[in-house]
Amino acid sequence: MKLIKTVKPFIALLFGVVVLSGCSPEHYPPEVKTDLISLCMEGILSGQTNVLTDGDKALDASDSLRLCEFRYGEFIKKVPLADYLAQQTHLYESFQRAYRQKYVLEDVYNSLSPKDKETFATTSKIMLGLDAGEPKQ
Amino acid sequence: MRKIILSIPGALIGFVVMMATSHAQEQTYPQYEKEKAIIFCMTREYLLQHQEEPAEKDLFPVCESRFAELENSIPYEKYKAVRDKGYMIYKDNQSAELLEKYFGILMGKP
Repeated sequence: MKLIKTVKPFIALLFGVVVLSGCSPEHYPPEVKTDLISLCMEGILSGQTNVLTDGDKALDASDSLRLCEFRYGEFIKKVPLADYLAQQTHLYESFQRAYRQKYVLEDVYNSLSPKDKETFATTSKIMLGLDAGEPKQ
Repeated sequence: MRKIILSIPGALIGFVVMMATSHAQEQTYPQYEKEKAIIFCMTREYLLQHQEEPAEKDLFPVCESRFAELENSIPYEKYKAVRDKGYMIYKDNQSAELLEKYFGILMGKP
């Protein structure tokens, strides 16, 4: 009987946490933000993605960071966190079966679902400024 | 009233168990970090060697073992402390060393 009295509030507490977490708006955790901004910054700083500026003026690191923060703000408006995380998990799973399926690098990405490909294309377009056209279905 | 008083220890135990569980989870790299690290490792291997030809051996277990080495060499708490600083244009020495070690392990550098 005592055990029931101990367990009941615990269940109530758990239920409360689950309900509260369900009610709170979806937001990107800081680690995902850092990863996306790092992706953008590495693209610019490595010279692999070009940023067009007035009068061929190169962006310095602080300008680049401001640009990446702006891109991040746009990205989270377009891509729900759940879609971004699902695409990462599916990419992980695609690599997991890469050897068995005799994939080359391109196949790893081509085996993703149309929705994942769209998320991937949006990530490249917004965070890297790369426009790869419509994702292949 | 007695019922409420009797419920307090239960709620406290529940709270402590939850805190302990979440603390235990913080000790190991969460799934998001594991996937990210292994994707980095696999992408690099496939970029370097398998853009044209499929792999002759399964590289996924190779990347999994590098990740296991990462877990042993850089405790999650230490990595998290650096990661939580956000993107740094100018990294302090400690953060730069840790990140160099992190990527070095995933790239299979001795």
